[in-house]
Amino acid sequence: MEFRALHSLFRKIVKGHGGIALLIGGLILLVFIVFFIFAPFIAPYDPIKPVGPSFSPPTTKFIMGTDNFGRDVFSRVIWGTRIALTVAIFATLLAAFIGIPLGLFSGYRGGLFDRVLTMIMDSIYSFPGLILAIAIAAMLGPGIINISVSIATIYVPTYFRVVRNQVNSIKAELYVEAARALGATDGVILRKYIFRGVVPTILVILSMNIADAILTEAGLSFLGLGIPPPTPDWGFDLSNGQRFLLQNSWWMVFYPGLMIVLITLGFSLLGEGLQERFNPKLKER
Amino acid sequence: MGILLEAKDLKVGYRVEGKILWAVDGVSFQVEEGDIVGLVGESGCGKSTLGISFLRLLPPGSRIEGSLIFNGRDLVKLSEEELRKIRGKEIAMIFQDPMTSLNPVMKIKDHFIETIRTHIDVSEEKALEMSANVLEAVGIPSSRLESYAFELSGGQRQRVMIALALVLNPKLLIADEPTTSLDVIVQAQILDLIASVREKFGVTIILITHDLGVVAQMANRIMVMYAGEIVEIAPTDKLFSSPLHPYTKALLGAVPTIDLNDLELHSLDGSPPNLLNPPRGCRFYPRCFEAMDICKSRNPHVVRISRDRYVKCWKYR
Amino acid sequence: MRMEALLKVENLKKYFPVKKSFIEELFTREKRFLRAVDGVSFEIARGETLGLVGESGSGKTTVGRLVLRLLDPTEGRIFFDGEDITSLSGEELRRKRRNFQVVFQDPMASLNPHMKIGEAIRHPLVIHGIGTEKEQKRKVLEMLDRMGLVPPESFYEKYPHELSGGQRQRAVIARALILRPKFVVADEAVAMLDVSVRAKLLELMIELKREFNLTYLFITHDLATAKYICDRIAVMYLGKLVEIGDLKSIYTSPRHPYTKALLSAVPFPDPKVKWDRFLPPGEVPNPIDPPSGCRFHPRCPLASQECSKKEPELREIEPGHWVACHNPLR
Repeated sequence: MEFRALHSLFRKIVKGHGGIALLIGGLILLVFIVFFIFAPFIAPYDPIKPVGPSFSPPTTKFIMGTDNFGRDVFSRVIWGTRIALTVAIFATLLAAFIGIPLGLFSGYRGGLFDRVLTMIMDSIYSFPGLILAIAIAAMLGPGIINISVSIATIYVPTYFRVVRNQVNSIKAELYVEAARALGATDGVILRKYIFRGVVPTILVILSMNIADAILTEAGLSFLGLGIPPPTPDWGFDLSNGQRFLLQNSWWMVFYPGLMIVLITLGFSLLGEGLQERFNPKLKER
Repeated sequence: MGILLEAKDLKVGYRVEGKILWAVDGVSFQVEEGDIVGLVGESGCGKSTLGISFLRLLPPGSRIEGSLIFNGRDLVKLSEEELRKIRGKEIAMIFQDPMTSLNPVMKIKDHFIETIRTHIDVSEEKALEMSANVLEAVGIPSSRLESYAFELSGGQRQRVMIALALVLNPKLLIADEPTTSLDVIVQAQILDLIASVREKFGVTIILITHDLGVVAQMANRIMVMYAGEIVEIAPTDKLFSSPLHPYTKALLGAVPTIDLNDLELHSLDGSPPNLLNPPRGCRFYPRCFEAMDICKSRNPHVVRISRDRYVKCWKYR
Repeated sequence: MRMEALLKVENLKKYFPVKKSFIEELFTREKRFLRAVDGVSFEIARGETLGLVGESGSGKTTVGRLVLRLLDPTEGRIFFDGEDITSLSGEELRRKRRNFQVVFQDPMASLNPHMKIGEAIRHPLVIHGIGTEKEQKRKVLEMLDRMGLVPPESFYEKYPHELSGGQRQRAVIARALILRPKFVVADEAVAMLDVSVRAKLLELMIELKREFNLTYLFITHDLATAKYICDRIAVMYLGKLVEIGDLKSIYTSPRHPYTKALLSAVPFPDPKVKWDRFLPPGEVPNPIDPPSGCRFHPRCPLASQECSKKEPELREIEPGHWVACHNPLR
């Protein structure tokens, strides 16, 4: 019974546009979700305690080697998933929760409010993301919440812009005018007509966004502005590891880097798949 | 008068969802020099597809079968190179929407120069002279050569399109819904223009439209299309006074007029069949008032009633 | 005002400001307007169908939207069922909307592509809080059945793109009528449908008019179609009403040269009938800069000196037949 349900879900995902991207992206992310949830069970060692000789290359005991403190890279990498995903998802959701309603309201109302807000958002948007995040992170200081806030700030304009533009184009559609003629309130129009039209786009942006947020977080940590040690964090480990590259301790850089690449790939593929899945539907009209 | 264009079992198909949709499914007809042939039908009947197939302006992946003989050459078999020489020079086409048919960043004169010099080797002055002449013939002052498309009204743009089509004196002009997106009075003006142009330039015209009033007043012969097939061909007066095919009869009964004595409009139930899966029998069968048993299972042959009357219906054998 | 008038429009005007370029904004003071509707007055009696006829730029579509209060008039008044609704807004206007509904030209565009047909038709009932969910669904199924969209349960679940043009327009009509409005504005309601389907829809609209006791404003450019459903015809040109009268007088003895031109421009679907065209030269001028005096005078074969100087008023030339012309026909 369960198998059949799974099978039909499987087919539903794979068939149709973007199916392969969705499938591969989904599988990759599934692996990371497993890491996230079951980190304490998967990681063989405590990630913040030295458990072996420093600079040990990958062996059967330490399958990804150890770092300069003798900590198990594999365990650090597994636990690092928690930081990466937590910060990225929190930041993305925060940005969405701020940007989307602002975009909806601004796009629907128009007028001076819209013009001013758009100008502000455009200014933030045109500022190089990482630099802005660095500036804000430097101001706020380290810590998961602060990092998430600084990352969220650079993404708010993305949601704002996309939603606002969609609202503008849907607003002008005849079926919205028809709804108004029926006596629908602005609230109803926003919810049932405009928001429904905006949702597919938002989903696509969310997944692309998370991918980007992970990179940004890694970047911040790499520069020392992110999560303070000894918390396992891929970006920090990258930064830490690259100091010892000349010693040929490649595993300290390679594995955290690999994680970053894979998870970004996963989210990007998911985003691409969603985009292809929704796009034909959008094109149909 | 000779036969200018002859189609034999012409089929035109589009690739849809991995299958072929035959929008034109085996049509045969002749167009004589000097004719204005009206090609009428409702949306989805295939008339526009047939129109663009004359110049093989079909999207990639389309299929075209059968034969289409123009001036002794089979257009279906010609190469793209050879076709390009014919387009605009021997066969020209005007489309429905003059708003989007002209390039917004090119001046009117540039449209003409480009068209002319693609086909014949003349100097720019000569090309301009030719353009001015043909523009005057359609009622546009030659000063308009310096204008851009957005400076012209809808009616003016359509006149420019007609002039562009005629500047190289083609033998055949295909007009696909040339007046549909224009206002009523401008429509009448453009139709007048098309009629006068036929005289002045001696061009044969195929007029594609859904408007029976237009073909009644303009065409000397009419072909009625339904679901990818031509169901009736007749001289205009005979088609209206004694239509043969049940669809033609139904269509005529549904056309509104401004005559106050004409009080009833007869509608037609149902809709045309899905051409991805055409029925085995007559395509009009489900909606036909005069249907017989044989109509359900077998697609009728074309019957020649007289020299210029053809009908595709089991009632006439 | 006649007691039976359901809709009365008085000197209705709608001017749209024309956007100026940045330079113009800086250096010129005067504002330019597009006078889409420039002083239109008429009445529609209860149970009547008034055809509002005109070409592009005539303002007929704008009048439709003004009457439905989808636009605010620049000047003038609108009375519905004896009540002045010109400045109604907000909640009051919303609630009043139950009484007047609209059917637009493009059924695909006026239906929300994300909403099932059944939900779309149920929507007005939900908006105005009429009935329980069960009752609402029942009403929708009834309506679908009445519109010939059978089986209704199956059509309830379909999306707009799964229906044909004629079916979609019927769904739109169902949605408009489910609130039992008194008045319906049909804005080129059948223009996008095939000829064979058009007749069916006109037939339906005429039946519904009787059944639901409706009053229609039928906006169209197609004089041939208007004939089958309208009782009276009003002709507009460049924002002004040039002629208004009952069906018979307009079609057999039009008095305004423009009306005559419009009628004669329709090609008759019978080759035996000689097409006597009475075509004015040129096209409808730009509504931003309309001609002085009578707006039609530059194209009018009967224009006199007076026509270019003085705008003609609507005068009752025979009972029930009004013309705005200095030299009316015959």
